[in-house]
Amino acid sequence: MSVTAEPDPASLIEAYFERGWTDGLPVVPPTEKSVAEMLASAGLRRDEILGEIRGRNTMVVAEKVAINAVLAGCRPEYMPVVAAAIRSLCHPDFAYHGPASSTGGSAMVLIVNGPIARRLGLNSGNNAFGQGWRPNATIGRAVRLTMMNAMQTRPGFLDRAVLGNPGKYSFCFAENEDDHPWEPLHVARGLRPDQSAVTLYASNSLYQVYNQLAAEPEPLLRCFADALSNLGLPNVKGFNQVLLVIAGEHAEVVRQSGWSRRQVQAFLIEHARRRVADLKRAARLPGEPTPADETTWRYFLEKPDDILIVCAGGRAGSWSACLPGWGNKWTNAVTTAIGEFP
Amino acid sequence: MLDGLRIGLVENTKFNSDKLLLRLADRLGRRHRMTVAGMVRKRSPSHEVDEAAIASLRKQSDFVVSGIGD
Repeated sequence: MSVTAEPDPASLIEAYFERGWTDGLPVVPPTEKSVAEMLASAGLRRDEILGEIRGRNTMVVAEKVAINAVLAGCRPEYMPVVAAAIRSLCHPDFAYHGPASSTGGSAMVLIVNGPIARRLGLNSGNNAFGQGWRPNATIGRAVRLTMMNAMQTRPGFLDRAVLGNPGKYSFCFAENEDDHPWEPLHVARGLRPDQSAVTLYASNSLYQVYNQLAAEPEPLLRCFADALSNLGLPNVKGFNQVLLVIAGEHAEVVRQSGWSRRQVQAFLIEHARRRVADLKRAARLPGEPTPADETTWRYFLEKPDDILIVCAGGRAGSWSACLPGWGNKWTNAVTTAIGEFP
Repeated sequence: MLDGLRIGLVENTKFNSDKLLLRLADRLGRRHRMTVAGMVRKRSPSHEVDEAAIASLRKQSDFVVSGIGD
């Protein structure tokens, strides 16, 4: 009788560290069975191509994504979301190379909408950006591990982030569609309410915006406009996309006011601006300030649809967030419908 | 061996990328009698050089320098 010893899980985990296949946290060692279950859950063939990054001669194959989803700790039913996120990542509009490799070190923010978010138990409420929810933590992590292990995006190689940010480990949350002043993000971007979708957005950073006194949208939105036009933002040359995440009490202020999404966007376009002289004094624009620069405004936002607005977070508290986009309009958020499989 | 080569330049749209490339080309010109065959501008630093520009660079130049700027 032959006895085959099962590999020790702890030594397998160490082996993954040694090969550089982790994000610094322990991973779940994959098996043939767990990878097959992951693929089946999303109705994917092992050799199916989920996307291509042409500038890198990189094809992203479903099996590799499934392996990384197992490594990240995903349950099989999460795989349709991971696969859709990878399709977004490879979409030409996202222009992967910049947000993935830039010194700016952007997080790949995933916003999940529709029935699948509720079915999987994705958190859209208290601590929506924080720890404690397996789908939030592992779906975002699966995308980052796929970037590292299947798309050559390793720190120090084709990931050249100066600082990076903690969202590079994982940044995935669901939109709170129940307390929304308007239609949810995926509907605003052309899908039906009964569809599920993931929107991928490259964000340099996250600013929490506090305002406990505003009872109308205008003073509240001035805080957002200020955060979206600070002197250190990378977006000086172009009209970048931005993401606003409006939480409970602030969403209530907007809802009760009757302001539309378009009104909010128009207000921010008008108020997210700096004087050219300020930008020159801060050496964000070349040259010495001229008298005319003291009264000439440089606007940071241009088109309403470049201002993505979602609702998430707890109902109590006067906090929201804005997430300035990476680059200077060199990448665009991409929304991909998520296939549902029995 | 380097003398007289034709340089293709790829400008990535960042601040000073064009200046950096032209200054480099000028030095190569003075040191090795190289000439600038042409400079193409990418859609953004995040995008690859488009196919038509690659074909043009391949036809006109002996080597290509891609600058980053900032």
